[in-house]
Amino acid sequence: MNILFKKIIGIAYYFLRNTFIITGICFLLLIIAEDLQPGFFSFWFDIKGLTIGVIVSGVLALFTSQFITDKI
Amino acid sequence: MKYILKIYTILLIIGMLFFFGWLIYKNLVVTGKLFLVNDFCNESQVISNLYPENRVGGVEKENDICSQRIFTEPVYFKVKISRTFSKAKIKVVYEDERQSLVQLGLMKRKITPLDWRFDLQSTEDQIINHISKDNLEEQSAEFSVGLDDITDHSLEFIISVPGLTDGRHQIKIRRIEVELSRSTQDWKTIFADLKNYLLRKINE
Repeated sequence: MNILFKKIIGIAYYFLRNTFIITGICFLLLIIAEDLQPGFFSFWFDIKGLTIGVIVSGVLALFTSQFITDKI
Repeated sequence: MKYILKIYTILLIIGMLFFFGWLIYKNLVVTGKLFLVNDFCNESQVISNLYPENRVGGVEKENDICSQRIFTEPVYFKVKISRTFSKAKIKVVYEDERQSLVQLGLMKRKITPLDWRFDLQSTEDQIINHISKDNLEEQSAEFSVGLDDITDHSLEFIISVPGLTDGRHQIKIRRIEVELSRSTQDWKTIFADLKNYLLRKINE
């Protein structure tokens, strides 16, 4: 059970890592676009949700990184 | 599992591209019309509440109906815009036992701090565009919008209620609707706009 749990967490790491990288890129691009064109995203939606998504996926990826399995 | 991860990553990237496409579509206002509402219940990202604070009350909520009171006139509200428009139609819905006529106006860009120029709705237009129904008053107005009306990516509107301050009276604003319009976009105009935008950014 313990091994299976570790394996699942290990696999989840890869998903969390990719989520973190892509949402992080998305976040940075939005900040750059907002700087170039004020209101680019802030007029249409609240960035709070995306920021929380980036932070949570990053933190979880960091914690699950110790369970990485060599093969996915 | 490797394939699932790949598919998941591709889906995330496609989602991100769609999201940026949606934002660009919203910012370009391809259809040429943008309709915005502030009903005071949900904080609007685009239309501000009324200000200055010493002339208006806070947002009040009664039986799921939200409003903001005006004690002293004139008061203002801002509409953030992502690009230029040629016309702005505004409609203000308010409660007033005396059925007073409000006068709407559009502030011009301030060149100096004491620059208070505005386009004010004419008295005839005020009478024509006033509707009273179901104990609610509606006042609407249409303004031509140019670069001279935009301050910090916003249009600033004025609500004047002549006689409100002297009569120690107050009105409740229930809803603000703004319809902004410009010519519709096609690929030619999008590229021309993009070129102008880049030139403007380089010259800044």
